[in-house]
Amino acid sequence: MKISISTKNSIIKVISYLYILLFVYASVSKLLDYENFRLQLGQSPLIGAYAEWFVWLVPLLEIFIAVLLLFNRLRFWGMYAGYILMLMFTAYIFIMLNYSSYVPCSCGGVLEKLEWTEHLIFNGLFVILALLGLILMRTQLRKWYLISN
Amino acid sequence: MKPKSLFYLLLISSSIGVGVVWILYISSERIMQKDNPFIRSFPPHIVEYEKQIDLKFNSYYFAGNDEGKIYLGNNTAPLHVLAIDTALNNIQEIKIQPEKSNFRFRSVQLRVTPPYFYLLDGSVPCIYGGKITDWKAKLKLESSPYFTIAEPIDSNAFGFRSNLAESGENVLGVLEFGNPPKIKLSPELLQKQIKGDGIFDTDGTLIYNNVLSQIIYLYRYRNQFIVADKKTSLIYRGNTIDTISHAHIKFARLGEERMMSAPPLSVNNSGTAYNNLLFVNSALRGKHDSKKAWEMSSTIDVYDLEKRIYLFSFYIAGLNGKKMTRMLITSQKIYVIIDNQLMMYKLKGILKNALEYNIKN
Repeated sequence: MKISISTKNSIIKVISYLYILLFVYASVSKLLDYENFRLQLGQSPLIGAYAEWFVWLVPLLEIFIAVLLLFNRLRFWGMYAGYILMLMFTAYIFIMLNYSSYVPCSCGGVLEKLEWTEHLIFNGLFVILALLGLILMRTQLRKWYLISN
Repeated sequence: MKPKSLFYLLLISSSIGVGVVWILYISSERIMQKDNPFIRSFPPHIVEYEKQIDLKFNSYYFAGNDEGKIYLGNNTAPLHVLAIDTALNNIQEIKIQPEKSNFRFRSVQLRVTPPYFYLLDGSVPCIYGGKITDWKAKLKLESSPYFTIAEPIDSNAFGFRSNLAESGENVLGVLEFGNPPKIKLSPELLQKQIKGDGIFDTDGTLIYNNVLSQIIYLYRYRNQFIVADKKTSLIYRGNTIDTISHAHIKFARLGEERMMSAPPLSVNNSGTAYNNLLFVNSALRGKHDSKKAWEMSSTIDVYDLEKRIYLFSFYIAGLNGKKMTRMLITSQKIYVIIDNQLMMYKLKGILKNALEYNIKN
């Protein structure tokens, strides 16, 4: 199936903006509710011992990735990093649901209302979106390389 | 970028990403259980409030329990006992009948280990005992040693804490009834940390775990508990998850008297054991614990005595600004006394599983 370049570009843009929206929202709500976020991370059966690092690392990474996604030239790597981070979040929830001794009450913002399984599906969808974006961008990337070389 | 190289890049980095999360999980779990840097975990819904009853007085304490009943002693009326069914429906008042009327108690404690009950007063000193079928108390020992706390081990022995004659330092021991009674002191169990002390810095709670036949001594001012067998041979020294390994106590001598000259830092308020689990009412707030929850409730930390690890914690809510003082654990419930209220909580989820696990084995 052939998709025109402009459709491709719009799909990539939509995915990027969705990611930017999600990451900016998630990081800002974490930082605004810093105390609460720290408490919740500390309660986590998976990374409780590392809560102090993650409480800063995760929101900063999210903002960094959102910035990468804003620029055409950096978008591929932003998407790539977003994909990895989202995949790690998904793995985190999956491990927690299946292996950990207990499941804590859920996390911040809009997602607070989501049950963990729904959370898992939500994250999984974002992983798939990023994969799609990366595949679409692959050809573009090749073109850039051709132009710049 | 070639399709193939993107595919490999994604494959490799995805597996690294998932691998990192997995490693974090494994190592975090290990840190939390073995060398916990004072991080508590609060699994949701492991205790559930069920019921409470008014005891009318705030001087009751748990004296013991059996299948169907829990027994409460009273600090101000030492011969007065309440027997309450485990569902908290019926309260039965009991009056202990002494064989002689000239009972002189100073600070007596009632212990009920059905079918027996004991009245222990280490400052007189005296030990009275009898059966709960008639609640008639007889003098068990003509000459008992002085003791500061005591817990029945089985029908003919007690674990106790006394003071060494020369130094006045705390010491743990066992007393077996008989004529004469057999007394064994084990000065190596309690370890003093402050030069010239040995009383305040070794203060704590004496617990007997009748399922594992272990004497447990939980230090009040440091993050340690001692587990010994019922002959007081050391099995191991365990640590509670807080970081206070050395007692923070300042004391002064006033002639022969020793007094604390600064308020000490309490670590463990009290504790109790049931089956394979040790329950510690901690006085310290953990690294990530909510300040509000800590102020309004008591924090109970649960340790597995067999696996020698910290398991998890839960809160017992306070009542009108007061917190629980005593706690009794059975296979199904937790009972706590707050002021003049006796409250019952149901054990649920992984807390119940942690208890049941051992019963089967």
